[in-house]
Amino acid sequence: MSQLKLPKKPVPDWEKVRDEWVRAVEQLVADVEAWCKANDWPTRRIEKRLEDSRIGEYYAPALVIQVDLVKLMLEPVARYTPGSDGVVDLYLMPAYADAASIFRRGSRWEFFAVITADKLPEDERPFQPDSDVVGMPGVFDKASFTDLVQLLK
Amino acid sequence: MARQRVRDEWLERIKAVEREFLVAQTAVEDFWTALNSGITELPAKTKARDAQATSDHLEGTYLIRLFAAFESGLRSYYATLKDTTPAMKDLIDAIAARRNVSDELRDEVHEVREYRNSLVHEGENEIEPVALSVARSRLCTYFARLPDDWKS
Repeated sequence: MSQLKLPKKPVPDWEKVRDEWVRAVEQLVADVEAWCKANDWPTRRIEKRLEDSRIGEYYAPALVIQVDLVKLMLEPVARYTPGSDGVVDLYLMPAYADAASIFRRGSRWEFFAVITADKLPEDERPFQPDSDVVGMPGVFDKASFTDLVQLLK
Repeated sequence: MARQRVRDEWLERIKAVEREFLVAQTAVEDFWTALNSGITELPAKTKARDAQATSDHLEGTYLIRLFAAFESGLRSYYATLKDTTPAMKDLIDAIAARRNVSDELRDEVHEVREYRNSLVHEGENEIEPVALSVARSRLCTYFARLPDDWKS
């Protein structure tokens, strides 16, 4: 691997911050891999290069997930985001359509997905005459991930 | 762990343009809110109509960038096949034929190209606008038909 680029505007202890962020992403990817395995959804890891002016260039894992005929990608986006300690996105591929954003807050991950209302069971559809989409927030864990994937299929 | 493939790097660049647009869109909306409530003022040497033009042209500006990222990626791949620089219309057709892209998707990509051209060459023809999210979906789906890797 060639020399990684140094940060242009480093934060204090930037190497520690970077390593801690990469470890958090690795743990998330490992958790999602395990949840997929339990559902018999094949996965493939990809090493993704990221560049951040505050913590420099680094590599973190992304995960491609095959759910029947639907392909998803879990991809680290940034360590620094307003209101969270990093964000990883879940996309529907190959269109790269936004499925959910997963925010790191403290020691846990929380997600926010936008789902078209017709995907929800009828009794769970909110009364929103001006919108055909529903925002779905929650803690990102095995149960919510599995539910989310079922809604995206 | 597998390294990120060239095709996926380009796909990500295309997607990144859309993400930048969403940030810029929010920034412009917040600017208008602040302007209307007197929290901020227009920059020196600008008028309200410039701020309005910024709002009106924002999505089109990013669509031009989105298409530029798509075109650069497509040309990067095509350079590994032939030592020529075809017009974008021909390039889309040539790669569609080579990579078995459906006629429907190819035509949808042409609609994005034509809309992009109408933005660059203002008002030449009346072209149906294509929303940025729709354009990203079409361009990424087409681009995903390329091989995983090539020497860029």
